[in-house]
Amino acid sequence: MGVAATQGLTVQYPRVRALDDLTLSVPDGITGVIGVNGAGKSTLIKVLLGLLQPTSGTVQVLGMDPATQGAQVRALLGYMPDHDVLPGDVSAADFVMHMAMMSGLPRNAARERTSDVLRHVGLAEERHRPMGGYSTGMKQRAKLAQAIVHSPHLVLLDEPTNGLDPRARDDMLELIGRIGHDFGISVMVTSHLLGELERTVDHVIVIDAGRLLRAERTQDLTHTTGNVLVEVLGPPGSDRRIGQALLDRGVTAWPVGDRIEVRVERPETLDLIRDLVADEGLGLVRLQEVHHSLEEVFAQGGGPHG
Amino acid sequence: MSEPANPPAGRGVIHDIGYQPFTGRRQSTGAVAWSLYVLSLRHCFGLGRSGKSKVMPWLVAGLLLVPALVLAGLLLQLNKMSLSSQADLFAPLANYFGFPYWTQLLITIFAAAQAPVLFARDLRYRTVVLYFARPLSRSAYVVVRLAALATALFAVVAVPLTIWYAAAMSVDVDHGEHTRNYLAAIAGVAILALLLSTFSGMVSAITTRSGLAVTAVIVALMLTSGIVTSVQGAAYDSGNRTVSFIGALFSPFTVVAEFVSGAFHQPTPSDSMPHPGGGWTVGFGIALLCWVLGSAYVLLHRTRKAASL
Repeated sequence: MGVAATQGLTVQYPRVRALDDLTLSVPDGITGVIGVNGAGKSTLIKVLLGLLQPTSGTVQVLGMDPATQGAQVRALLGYMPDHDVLPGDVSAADFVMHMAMMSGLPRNAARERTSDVLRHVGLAEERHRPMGGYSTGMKQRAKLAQAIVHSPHLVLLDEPTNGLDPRARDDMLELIGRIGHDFGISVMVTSHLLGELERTVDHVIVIDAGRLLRAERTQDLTHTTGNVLVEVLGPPGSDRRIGQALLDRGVTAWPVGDRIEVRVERPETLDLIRDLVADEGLGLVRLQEVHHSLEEVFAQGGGPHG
Repeated sequence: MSEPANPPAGRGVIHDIGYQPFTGRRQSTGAVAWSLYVLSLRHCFGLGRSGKSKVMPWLVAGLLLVPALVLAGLLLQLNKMSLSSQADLFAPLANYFGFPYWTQLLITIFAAAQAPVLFARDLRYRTVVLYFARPLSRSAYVVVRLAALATALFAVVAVPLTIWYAAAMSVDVDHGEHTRNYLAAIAGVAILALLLSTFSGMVSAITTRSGLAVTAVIVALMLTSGIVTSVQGAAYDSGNRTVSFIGALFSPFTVVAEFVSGAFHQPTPSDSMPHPGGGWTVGFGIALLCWVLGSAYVLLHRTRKAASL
C-alpha cells in the first residue's frame, strides 16, 4: 500500500473530462507524474488535497479519504504550486513560520522548524528580506520550504523546476532527492519533461488526457530502448551512406534528421558501426544511447506495460 | 531539536544538516483558525507589518477617540453649566448611536484600508492556494478573516463609545437612559461592523489590487451614503417617509441606523431620517441580512474561484 492511490477516478468538468477512469498508486519514495500541460496533473493534485470532489471513483491518501477527511489529510500533506504564491512584502522567515502554524504546528515548534527547513533548502541570510526581491530560484526554495515545514508525510510538488536555469534546476532536483530519500518524506513531483526527472524519481507515472499511460519503476521505463543515435562528420550524404551500409549488413537503421538511429540487437553492432565509419573515412561525432522520450511513451499509447 | 545526525565532515554546504521530522502533537483545526484570527486582527492594526502600515489604522482609531473624549469632557463639566445649556446637551449626550453615523467617513476609511490587507493580498499573490492546501476549509478561512475585520471595526468604534459611557456613569445623569442607549449603540456597532466588513471584504476580493480596493470601498460606501442622504433630505422636505425608508436600504450606515432606532426605540441619528415603525424595522432587519449574506456569498464564491489551483 503506497501513500496515495486512486481507483477508477473520474473528474468531469462542465466541458472537459480532466481525469478518466484513472487507477494508480503512488508508492513510498519519489514518484514523478509526467504529462503534457492539460493532462490532468493539477486536477489529480486537487483531488488528492481534497479540494475537488471526484465525479466517480475512490481516492485514498495516507490511508484516508480526502473527500471526507480533508482537514486530517491536508495536515499531513505538503503542497508546492507551480505558479507564484509568495507575498512580496513578507520575509521568507515570517511567511514560512506562519504557514507552519496554519498547518497546525504550535508556535515554538513552528519557529524552530522554519529555521531548520530554510537552512535545508539553502536560504541563508536572505530569509529575513522581503520575498518580492528574490530570484526565481530563491522563490522556488521558499515555496518548497513552506511545503515541508510542517513535516508532512507526503509532499506534492507541481512543476518545481519551472522557470529555473539549468544549475538551479539541478539544485532543486538534488533537494527533491534529499527530501524523498534522506528526510523520509514521500514525494509526488509533476513535470512535463520525463528526462528531467529520470535521475531523481524512483517511480514514474505517465498520464495523458486524464488516463494512465504507464506506471513503472524508473529503471524499467528508461533503461532499454536498445537503440543508439549515430552522427558522423563528413561530406553531405555521409549519413545516408552509413545508413545504407548498415542496412546492407542486415542491421535495422533509419534516418533521424541528419543522424541515424540504429537498432542494437547484439553488442557487436556497436563495433560494426565504428568500423563502417572508419572504413568510410568519416569522423564519428556521436554514438549515443537513445532513451525513451515522453513522446515515444505517448506514441505507444500505453504500450505493453500500460 | 536534538543534535542533527552526524553531518559529514568536510562538506561545507550550509543546508547539509540532518533533518528531524516533527514528532509533537499537531494542533486542532480550531486552534489553527484561532491563530489565523489573532494574526489577521493584528494585521488590521498594522502589528507585525511594516511601520508604514501602522499609520492609517492608528490614526483613524485616534481620530475616532477625539469626539468621544470631547463628549466625555462635556459630561464631566455638565454640572458647572447653566441649566439651559444642560438642557440643550442632554439629548445629544445620550445619543450614542449617533456616533458611528456621524463618524462614518473615518469608519469607512478604516474598513477601506484594512479589508484589502485581509482579502485582496492573498488573492493577488495567490497565497490563498497555500491556505486551502492546509487543514482550514475554504469557508472557514473566509469566516475567520471576516471575524477579524469585524472585530477590528467594532473595537475602533466601541472603545470611544465606552469611554464616553464611562464618563456618563461617573456623573449625575439618567444612568438608566444612558445604559439603554449605550447597549443599543453597541449592538448597532456590532451589526455595522459585520456589514461593513463583509461588504468591504467583497469589494477587496473583487478588485484584488490593494490601492484599487481602497478606492473602490471608499467610493462605494461614500457614494451610496451621499446619495441616500440627499434622497432622505429631499424626502424629508416633501414629507414622504416611504421614499426616505426605501432610500435608507441602500447604504450600510442608514440601514443599520434605521434598524437600530426601530428595534431598540432609539432616536435616529439625524432629523432627516424618519423613525421606522414595526413593519419597516422588520424590513430593515431583512435588508441587513441581505447585505451581509449577499456580500458574504460573493466574497466566498470569489475567493474559492480565484484560488482554483
